[in-house]
Amino acid sequence: MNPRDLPSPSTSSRGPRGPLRRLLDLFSTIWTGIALLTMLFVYSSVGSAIPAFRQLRVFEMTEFEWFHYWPFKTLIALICLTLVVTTIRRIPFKPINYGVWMIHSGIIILALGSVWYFGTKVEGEAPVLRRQVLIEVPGAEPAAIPAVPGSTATVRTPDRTLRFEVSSIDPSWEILSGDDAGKRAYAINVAVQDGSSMFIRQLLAGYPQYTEDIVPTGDPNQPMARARKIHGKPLVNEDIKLSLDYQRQRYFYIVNSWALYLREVGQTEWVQRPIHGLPRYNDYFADRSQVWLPPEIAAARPNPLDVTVPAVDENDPLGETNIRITSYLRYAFVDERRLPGGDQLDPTAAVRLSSGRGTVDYQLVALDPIASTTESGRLRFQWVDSEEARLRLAEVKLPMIRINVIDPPAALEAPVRQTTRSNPGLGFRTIEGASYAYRVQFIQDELVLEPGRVVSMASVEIQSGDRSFTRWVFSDPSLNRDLPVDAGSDTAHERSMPLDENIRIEFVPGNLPPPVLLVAGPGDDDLHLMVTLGSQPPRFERIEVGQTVPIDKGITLNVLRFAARTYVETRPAIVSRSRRQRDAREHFSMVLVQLERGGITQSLWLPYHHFVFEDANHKLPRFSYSPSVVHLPDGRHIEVVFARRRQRLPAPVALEDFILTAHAGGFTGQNLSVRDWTSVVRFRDGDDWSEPIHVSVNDPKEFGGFWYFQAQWDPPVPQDGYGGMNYTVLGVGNRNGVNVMLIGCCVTVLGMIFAFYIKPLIKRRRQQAVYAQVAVDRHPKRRVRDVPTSQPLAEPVGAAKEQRP
Amino acid sequence: MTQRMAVVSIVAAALVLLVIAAVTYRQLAGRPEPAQRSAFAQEVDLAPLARIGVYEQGRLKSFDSFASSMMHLVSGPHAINGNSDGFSYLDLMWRPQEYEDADAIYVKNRPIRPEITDALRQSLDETLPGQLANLREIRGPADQELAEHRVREQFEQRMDRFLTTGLISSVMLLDPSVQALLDVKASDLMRTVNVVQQIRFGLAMMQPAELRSRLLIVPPPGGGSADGWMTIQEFARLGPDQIAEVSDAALPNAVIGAWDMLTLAWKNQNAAGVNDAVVELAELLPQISPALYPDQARLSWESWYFKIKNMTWVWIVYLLSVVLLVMSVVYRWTPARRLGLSAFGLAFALHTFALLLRWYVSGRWPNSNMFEAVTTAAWFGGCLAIVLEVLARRSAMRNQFALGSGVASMIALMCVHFLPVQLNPNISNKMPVLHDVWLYIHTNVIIFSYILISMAAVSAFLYVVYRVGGGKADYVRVGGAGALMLSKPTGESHLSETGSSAGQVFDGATMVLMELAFVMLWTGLVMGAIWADHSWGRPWGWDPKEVFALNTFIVLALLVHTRLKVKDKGLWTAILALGGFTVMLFNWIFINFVIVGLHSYA
Repeated sequence: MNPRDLPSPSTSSRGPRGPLRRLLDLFSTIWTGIALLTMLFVYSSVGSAIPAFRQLRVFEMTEFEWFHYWPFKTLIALICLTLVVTTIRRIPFKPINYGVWMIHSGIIILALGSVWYFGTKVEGEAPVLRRQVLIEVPGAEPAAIPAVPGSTATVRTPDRTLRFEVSSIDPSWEILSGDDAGKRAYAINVAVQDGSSMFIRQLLAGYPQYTEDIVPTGDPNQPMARARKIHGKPLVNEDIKLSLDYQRQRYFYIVNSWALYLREVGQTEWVQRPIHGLPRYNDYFADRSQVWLPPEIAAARPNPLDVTVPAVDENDPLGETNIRITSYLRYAFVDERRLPGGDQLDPTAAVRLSSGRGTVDYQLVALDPIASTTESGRLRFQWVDSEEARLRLAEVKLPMIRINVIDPPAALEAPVRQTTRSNPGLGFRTIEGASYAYRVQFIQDELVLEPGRVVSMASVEIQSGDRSFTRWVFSDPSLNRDLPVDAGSDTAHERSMPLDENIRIEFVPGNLPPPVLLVAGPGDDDLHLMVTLGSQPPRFERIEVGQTVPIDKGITLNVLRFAARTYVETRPAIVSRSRRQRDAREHFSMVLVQLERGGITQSLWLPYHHFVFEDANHKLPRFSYSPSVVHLPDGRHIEVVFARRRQRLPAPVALEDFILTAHAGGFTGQNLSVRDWTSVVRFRDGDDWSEPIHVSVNDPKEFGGFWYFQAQWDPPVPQDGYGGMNYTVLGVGNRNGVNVMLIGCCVTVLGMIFAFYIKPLIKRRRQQAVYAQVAVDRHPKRRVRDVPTSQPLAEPVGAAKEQRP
Repeated sequence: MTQRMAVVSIVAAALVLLVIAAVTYRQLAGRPEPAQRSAFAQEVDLAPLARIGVYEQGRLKSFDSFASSMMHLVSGPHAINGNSDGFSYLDLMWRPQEYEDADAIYVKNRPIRPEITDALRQSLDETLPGQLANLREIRGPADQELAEHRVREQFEQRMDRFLTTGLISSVMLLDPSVQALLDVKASDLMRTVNVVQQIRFGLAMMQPAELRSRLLIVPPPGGGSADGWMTIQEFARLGPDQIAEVSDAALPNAVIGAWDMLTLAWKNQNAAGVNDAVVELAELLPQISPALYPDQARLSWESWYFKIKNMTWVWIVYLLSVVLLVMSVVYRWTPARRLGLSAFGLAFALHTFALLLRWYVSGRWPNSNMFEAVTTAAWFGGCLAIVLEVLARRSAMRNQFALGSGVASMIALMCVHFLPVQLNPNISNKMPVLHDVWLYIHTNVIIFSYILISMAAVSAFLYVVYRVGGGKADYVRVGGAGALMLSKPTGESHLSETGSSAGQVFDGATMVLMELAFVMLWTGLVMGAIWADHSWGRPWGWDPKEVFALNTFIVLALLVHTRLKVKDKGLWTAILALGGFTVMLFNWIFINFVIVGLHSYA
């Protein structure tokens, strides 16, 4: 880079400098460029390395927004201005400076391309379902249901009602017969309930000729069979026509945007109201009583919002209703909690356990079997309705093990005081007179086998000679079973293990109280604490709310709040920052929307939706869909959804096929076993569909000015019997100006190569020419190499002042 | 070179070596004492297993490679009882009782170690008096106190080892007091849940059932490449139709028999039986589906590569070259130069062999994870150093590039050697998005620029030392550092041995490397944008890694422009070269490991 060392304008013969000239001088100095680059460095570093900074309430910016904030734009503009002015005014355009000219020009071209690119950038996602099932029944309007397991449709004709439900899908169904035997196809099973009869119709995408029904046989050994075998024809009822069609997607959802969607109940089309100015990272609420606050911000000051969401669509069902958003929660969920008051007996206590390792708060509900216990059963809250009942709690009964050995006869009955779980060093106890020894591994109480059937179980390890095994002994002996100690340690041991009938064990559960039992009652203000540690007798004491009670060494309990009579209130609960999933983004956000019309205000909390589906049938697995309903005074019912803004695609898109390519060994559920995901899509081109287009990772495709790339997929869930690959999520975006940016970058690279590596060659050649000339002039017979080198022809790297271009 | 400068240089070099030695000592001291290996462990020969393929996450690994990656999840960088990973894997699977109270689980997070120690100490305080109560009754209070003292002393010694090595037993981790602590930590999803997950994952990985289920060593009989591999137990449960796919009808039973023999012999500590069974298994398993079985030569090399610890110990050879080259630079002592370059050449040859071997066993150019990026970048530096040393052989800058590359490679290999948890050497498949030719173009250009910046930082550091030692504010005077690699029209070098100061030499080397880094970094950024454009649909997403690569470039641009204006050009160049190096390191370390972004897999 060779800025010319111009004489100072102030000393030039052109007289004093005017404001414009001073400004030009300012932007002609390298120091200005250095200062601007330094500021750019600081700005970028802060915004990128300290996300919490740009997420402060005063900014509430994503990375994209931070780098489109006016200070950034100003910095870039000033850098470009400096580049242009300096280059034109101080760097002569001649071959030796072509490099720096190219670098600076390339950056200006890149900046212009970036303005075009980022100024028009739109980016989003389009979920595309694979198929829908078209239903045609004589005498009824045609219907359609998306090919999603669980989606249903009811079709009524004058004389009957039919119910259709997509019972399952299989993305890789193998065709076993016919000309296409061995091929795999996307299969959809639709359960059809026609009055009292029922059958399943299997539809194969791309193979309508193989559509056939599966019907009940009444044979418990083979409950369902192909209609072809039972009735001699593939379809039991040919009047009912089911076929597959593409499920077209017309919209994509713009990233980092917000919108409300409205429609009257019963309508299918949503009307959008874009939301501008909504924060993103912090919680805003008008009143503390609106939300449940986590302890660390229990005293947070209200910080209400007032974001108006105007109607922009003439079909808006609430066109004259003023909609405002007054609260925004970044990470919350709707929660029911109990507050003191009312007549209903529902004892609730907020308890704080403290130890050297920290403090934990719990809310315990005495009459709720689950919410009454915490700390893995070590702390329980119980209500007693009489003083006698309270005193009975202190009566401890140990669990018992009874063992009977048949041959040789022996018996033993012993309380269970220790287990290997509580004491890993617990040894085996020999059963006198028998070749058996045992020890109890652990006891599990309140095992719910099915509703209403609760049992207890002791895991007993038994040794007999060289053999050892574990017996699960239930309070219901019919459930007992034996297991090898090291189940499946080799192929032989994995085989089933019969119950050793020579030893019989019974387990009688005890009523050991938990180490800490908080007892309320019989009076509304009565609160007692029963502590049972080890083999010591229970310690009972009356306690008060707010009193810190020592439990054991270093452990204390404090009942923060207690009320015997409570009522339930539902509010959004803000989740503590430490308990938020790091990659949850805005998925758990909520807004409080106020609808104002005719002096009447209605409020409702709306959870965030990633996509807005047409109805519950269209909901895709792993995405939520729960529209809220507003009942208007005029009798209308309006559904409202809070989601991202959507934009119409240039053409509807459909998913022809989804291909999962795996590495050797097939797909194992882990991403590293996947080689590629490919969505085979078609676009609606006029009245027809385009040819299939393959969109895969690293291979996006363009259609109608937008690029489509593979973003998400629908993985199988084997434990649920779900085959997955039923939809794809395409990334959608435009890329205006990318080629301009690329040209700018390439020019810059060429300029760098010229400046750093070609320029020295040019200069060397010139020096050689000078030396040669000097040699010829002074010593016509001497070679260039012999010329003395004391002349100061070398120059410092880029040293402006010493340079004499 | 002045005497003072020489002294300062020697002191600086000594300090650097001292730091390296201290780090090394600390690492070595932190290792568990290799316990006396049992006679069984010494007699067992698992070498035949090197030819056995194991399926893991879409890749067919050699048994040793697989065992290394699995044991890495349990004991981190440490070998359990000094045994090989393969031995530990099988021993844990078949003799888990021997490991219940063995310090075998690695707790990676250092801050949680004292918390676990405190919890265990508290638990000991609560339980020990009760446990020793009988002793008091039988032997009296003196014996009880003595026993308690011994127990506490042993406990404290064990906890000291735990604090240093991070190794702890499963019994201790399963202590209710530790579990309560881990529960509390697990509830903090922002900060400590990952710490707990790592510990619990290690605990889970020690379970025999888990180890068995992951040992997928049987190829699908008659299956295709898309069919899953299976464990011996799954193979034993195959139906007759599937077994019939095996060409030799006797083979399935022979395989299962060999496995049962191995199991039995191992449990009985019968080394001869184990050795026989291992040989038999290694011969039989590939016969089940020969077409699907990976190349056995490749498996053997992969095993060897992991047995010799990925050759990351080559850093010692680099250290030797660095010591000699520093002497060569400081004293301009020809024998030191020759020896230094020879040691550098040897280190580079070993480094090249390690790289080529990894390429061969993984089937792809090694640049897909942090281990590979660091080692490959260092290797690029070696290649460039050789080219520049040839070009600058008549210049006073000679040795500078080998020294820069030697230091950078030494530190890079030390990092992967001493931080195997953070820079995991295991070979796995690439993420789907990385299957693109631009991975090789963009990533290699970027890491090449990173090693250039690192090498420049070495000469910049030497320049700062030179100035601190009272050296003149010299800098190299030539238009475009590229000219430094060219001779003058007279045939002389721009920086002759006799006519140039150390300041000019260090500054010249810095500029040669920084200008090349400037071009490579920008080019790499542009290539990354091209890849991002066709992969993610956008060339630039303001991802932290992108921004900090740009920030590194901004620092280099500041260097180029500041040099135009300041008087003390050499010093400012050195400072900004070190600044660029710092930003680059920040991007490579902090952004990669702390800030989650689109490039987090790299």
